[in-house]
Amino acid sequence: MTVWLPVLVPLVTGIATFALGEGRSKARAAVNLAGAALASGTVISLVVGAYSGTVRAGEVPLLPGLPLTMHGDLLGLLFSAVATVLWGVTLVYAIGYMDHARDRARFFGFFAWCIAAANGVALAADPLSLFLFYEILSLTTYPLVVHSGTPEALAAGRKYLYYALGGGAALLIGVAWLAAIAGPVRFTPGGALGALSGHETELRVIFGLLAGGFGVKAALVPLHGWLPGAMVAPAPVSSLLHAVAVVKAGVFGIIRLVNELYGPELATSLGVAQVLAVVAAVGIIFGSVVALRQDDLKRRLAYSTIAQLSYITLGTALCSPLAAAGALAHLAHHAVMKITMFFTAGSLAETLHVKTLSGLPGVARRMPITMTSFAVAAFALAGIPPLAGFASKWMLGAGAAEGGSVWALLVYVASGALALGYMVPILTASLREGNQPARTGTESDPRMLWPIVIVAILSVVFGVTAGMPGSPAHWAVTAIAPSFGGWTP
Amino acid sequence: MSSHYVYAMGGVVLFALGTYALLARPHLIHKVIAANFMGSGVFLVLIGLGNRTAAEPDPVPQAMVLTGIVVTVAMTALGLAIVKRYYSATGMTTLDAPGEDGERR
Amino acid sequence: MSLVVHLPALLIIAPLAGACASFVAGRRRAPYVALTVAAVNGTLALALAARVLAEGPWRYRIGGWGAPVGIDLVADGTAALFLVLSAAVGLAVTIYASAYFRSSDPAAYGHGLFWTLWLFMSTSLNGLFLTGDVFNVYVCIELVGISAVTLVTLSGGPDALRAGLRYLFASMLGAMTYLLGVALLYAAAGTLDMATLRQTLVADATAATGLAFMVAALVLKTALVPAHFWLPTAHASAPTPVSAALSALVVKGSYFVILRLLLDVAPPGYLGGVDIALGVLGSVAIVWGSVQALMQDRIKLLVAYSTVAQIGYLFLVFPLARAGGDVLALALGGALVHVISHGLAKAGLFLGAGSLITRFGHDRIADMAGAARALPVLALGVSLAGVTMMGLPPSGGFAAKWLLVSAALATGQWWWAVVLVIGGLLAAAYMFRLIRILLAGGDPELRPSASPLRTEWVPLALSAAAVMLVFAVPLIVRLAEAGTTLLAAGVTP
Repeated sequence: MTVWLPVLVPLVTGIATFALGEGRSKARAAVNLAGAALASGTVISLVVGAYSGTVRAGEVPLLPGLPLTMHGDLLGLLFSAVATVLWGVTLVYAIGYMDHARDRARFFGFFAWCIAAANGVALAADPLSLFLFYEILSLTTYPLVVHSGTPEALAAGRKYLYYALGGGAALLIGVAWLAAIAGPVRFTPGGALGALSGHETELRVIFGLLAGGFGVKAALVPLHGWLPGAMVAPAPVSSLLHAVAVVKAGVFGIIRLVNELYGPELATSLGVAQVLAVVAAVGIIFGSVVALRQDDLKRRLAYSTIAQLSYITLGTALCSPLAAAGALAHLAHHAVMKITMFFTAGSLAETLHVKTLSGLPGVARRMPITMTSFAVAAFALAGIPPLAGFASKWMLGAGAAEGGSVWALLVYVASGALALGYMVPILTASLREGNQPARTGTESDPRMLWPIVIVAILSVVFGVTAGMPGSPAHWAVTAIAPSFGGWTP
Repeated sequence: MSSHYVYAMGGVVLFALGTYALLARPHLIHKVIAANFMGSGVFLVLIGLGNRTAAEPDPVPQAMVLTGIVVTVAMTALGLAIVKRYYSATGMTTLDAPGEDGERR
Repeated sequence: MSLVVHLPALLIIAPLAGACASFVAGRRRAPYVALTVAAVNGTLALALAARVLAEGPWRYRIGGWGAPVGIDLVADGTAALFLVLSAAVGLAVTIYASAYFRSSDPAAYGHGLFWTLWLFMSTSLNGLFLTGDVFNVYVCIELVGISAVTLVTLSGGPDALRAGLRYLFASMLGAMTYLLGVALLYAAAGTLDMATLRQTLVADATAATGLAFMVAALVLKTALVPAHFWLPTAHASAPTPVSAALSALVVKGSYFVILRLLLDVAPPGYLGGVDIALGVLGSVAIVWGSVQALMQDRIKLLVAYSTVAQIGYLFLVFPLARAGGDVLALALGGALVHVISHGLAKAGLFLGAGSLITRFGHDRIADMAGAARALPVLALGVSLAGVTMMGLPPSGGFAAKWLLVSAALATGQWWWAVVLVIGGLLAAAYMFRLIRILLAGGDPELRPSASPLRTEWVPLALSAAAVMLVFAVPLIVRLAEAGTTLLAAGVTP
C-alpha cells in the first residue's frame, strides 16, 4: 500500500484543490503544502525501506495479463524524491508568484496531478505502467502550459501536444510490440529481455520507438522543439515541470530503458546504445551553442536544459557503470541547479519585469541574494568544484574514459566550457550599472526568495557531500550498481 | 423454370427498381413509394422462395411477410406524416432545394 | 430463482409498460415514470449480467414455444454488456432530460411524447440485444428506427425534419435490404434461429448472398463510411438527449447484430474477404471522420463526426477475428471495451455539448472561449470524454486501443495498429481544438445563463465512468468470454 502513496497523495491533493474552488486561497495553500509534506514523507519512508533492503511493491489488475505494477526501488525513488521534495519548494515559490494571477485553483490542482503522474512514472515497475503514467503526465501538463490563455500560450500548448502525443504514439507501439514478442516484462537491473534471440531487428526498431517516445520529453535533439516554446508558461511551471518533472520523466524513461529493460549488455550488442550516444552528443553541442545566442533568459535556460538533459542521455548510453551512475546523479543535481535558475528568472520577470539579457544591468545591486544564488547554481552547472555539477560531471567524464569512450569525455569538457560561456554573461550583465528602481523593503516577495536560497544551498550541499551515503551521488551509485552485476566504484 | 422462381425474380426486380428510385428520385413521396416497392419485392421473394421445396406450403415465410407488411405500413405512415409536416414547415417537397447539390457529407 | 430466469422477458416488458404508463401519465408526470423505469431497467440489466457471470449464459423461450417455431431470447455475456451500457446511458440521459426539457418550450419535445418514445426505443434496444432469431432482429431494428426517427424530428424545425427524413430513408433502405437477406438465408438454411443456423450453415451461394445483404444493411445502419451520410445531421439536429442516445446506443444496436452474425453464426471466413473489406472501411472511417470533425465550426456536428470516426474502430475487429483463439479474444475484448467506453464518453460529450449550447445560447465552438473558467464542471466533463476518444490513459478508450493494437501485432497485421495510433492522434487534434478554446482566455466577465446542476454533473459522471472503465476491463473480458460459446449450446434453463 505504501508504494501507491506517492501517487495517491498528490492525486487527492489535486482533487481537494479543485473542490475548494477559486476563492479560498489560504485553505488551498494549506492543503497543497500539507500534501507535499505528506508525499515527501511517504517517499522518504520508502527510501529508508529500500536502503535496508525492503523494496515495497504493489499491483492492480488492469489489462489481461498486464497489471498496473509499482515498486519502490532506489532508482525510481531518486526521481520520485526529486520531484516530490521540489514540489514542496516550488509550491512556496508559486504561492508567491501567482499571488495576482487568475485561475489559481486550476493551476495548483493540475500541478499536484502532474506530481502524481511523475511519481507514477518513477515507481512504475513495468513498461506498460510507466507508459500509462507518462501519457497522463502529458495530459496534466497541458493546462499548465496554456494557463494564461493568450494566443502564444495556446500555440505553445499545441506544439507541446504534437510532440508529446506523437512521442506517446511511438511509445504505445513500442510497448505493445515488445509485449507481443516478449510477453509481460518487468524492469530488472541488468535487463529483462534475456531469452530473445532471433528478434534482433525487431528489438532494434522497438528500441528506436521507445527511445524516441522518451526522447520527446527528454528534449533529445531533434525532438526538442516543444521546450523553448513551452517557456511561455508561468515560471513555477517552467521551473518544476520543464526543469524537473516532465523532462526528467523523459530521461528517467531512457535510464530505465537502457539499464533495466534492455540492459547495458544487450543495448551495446544490438548497437542501439552507440547510436543513442551519438544523438545525445549532438544534442549537447547543439543546445550549448544555441544557448549562447539567446537574449531571452528563459529561452537561454531552456536550451541549456536541452544540453544538460543530453548529458544524462549520453552517460546512460555509454553503458559504463560510473557514467550511468553519473547520469542518474545528474538527474538530481541538474534539477536543483536548473530550478534555482528558473526561479531567478521568474523573480526577475515578476518583480522587475526583466526578461532578457539586455535588461539585466543593475539587477545585482537590486536583488543581491537572488543573483548570488543564481551565480552559485551557474557555477555548479558549469562544473566548478566542489559544487553539485562538478560531482556528476566528474562521474560522467571518468565513466566515459573508463568505458573507452574518450570522445564522450571531450564532449563533456567542451560543453562545460560552453556552459560557462552562456552563464557568465548573465552574471556580468547583472553586475553592470543599470537603472533599476530603488529597493523598498525586501528584494522580492519572501515566498519567492527563500526557495531560491534553499535550492542554491542544495546545489552546494549535494556537491560537497557527494561521496557520503544519503547524497544523490552515492544514492545513484547504489541504485545503478545492480544493473552492472556487482560493480563498486 | 417453375412458377415460384418467377415470383422470386419478379421480387428481385421490384427490389432493385425500388432501391434505385429511393436513392435517385428527389421527390419525397416518390421516395416513400419506392420504399414500399422494395418491401413488396422482398415479400414476393419470400413467398416465391418459401414454396420451393415442400409439397405443403411453408408457413414461416408467410408469417414473415405478414409481419413485414405491418412494419412497412407503420414506417410508411410515419414517413408520410413527417413529409406532411416538412411540407407545411418549409413548402418543399424535396430534401434539398432544387438545383442544390445535397448535403452529402 | 425462477424470476431471475425470466429476466430477458422482463427487460422487454418493463420499458414497454413504462412507455404506455408515461403516455397515460401526461406531460407533467411522465419524467417520473421514466426515471422509475430507468432505475428498474438498470437493476434488471445488472441482475442479468450477474447471473451470466455466476452461472453462465442461458436461452429463454418466449411463451414456452422454443425455436424453430417460437423465438428464443439469448442472455449471454455480450448481450449483458450491451444491456448494461444501454441501461446506464439510459438512466443518465433520463436524469439529464428531465432537467433539460423542464426549461424548454413543450413543443420542443413533442408535448411530453419524448418520454413515451424514449421508452419505446429502450424496449426495442433491449429486444435487439436479447433476440436469438434473425427475423426478430428485423422487427426490433425497425422499431428502433421508428422511435429514433420520431425522436429526431421531435422539435419540429425544418432542419430536424430534414435530418429525420434522411435518417428514415436510410433506415428503410437498410431494413428492406436486411429483410431480403433474411429471405435468401431462410431459403437456403431453412431456419431463422441463430443457434440452429450456426450448426447447420454450410457453404452455399444463396445463404452467403443473404448473409452479405444482411451485413450490408446493418453496415448502413451503423453508419460505416461510405454509408454514413445520414448520421451527422441526424445526430446534430436532434434534441441533445436524443443525440446522446443515438450516438451511444442506437448505432451500437446494429453493430451488435453484425458481431452476432459474423462471429457467432457464420463460420470464420464464411464471407470471404468481407471481413478485410470491413476493416479497410473502418480505417477509412477513422481518418475521414476525424478530418471532417476537425473542420466543423459547430459543436454538435464535431461530436457527430467524431462518432463516424469512432465507429470505424469497431470494424477493425473483423479482420483480426480470423486468427481465432487468443487473438479473437483480445480483439473482441477490445471492441466490446470500446463499445462501452465510447458509449459512455460520447453520451457525456453530447450532453456536455448540449449544456454548453444552452448556457451560451449558441453552438459556435470559436465563441465558447473561457468556458473552463465559468463552467469548470462542464469543461472537465467534456475534456474527460475527449481523453477516452483519444484513447489516452487512463481511460476505457485506451484499454480498447491497447487490446486492439495487441491483437493486431500478435497476428502480424501491424497496419491496423498504425491505423489505430493515427486515429488516436487525429482524435486528439479535434478534441484539443475544442478543449483549447474552452481553456483560452476569453471574456473574464463571462456569465453564462443558469441551468439546473444536473445538466453539468451528468456529463461529468458519464465521462468519469468512461475513464474509470479501464479498471473494469478484466470484468468485461470475463463477461465477453461467456458470450460466443452460447449459441451453439442450445442450453435451456
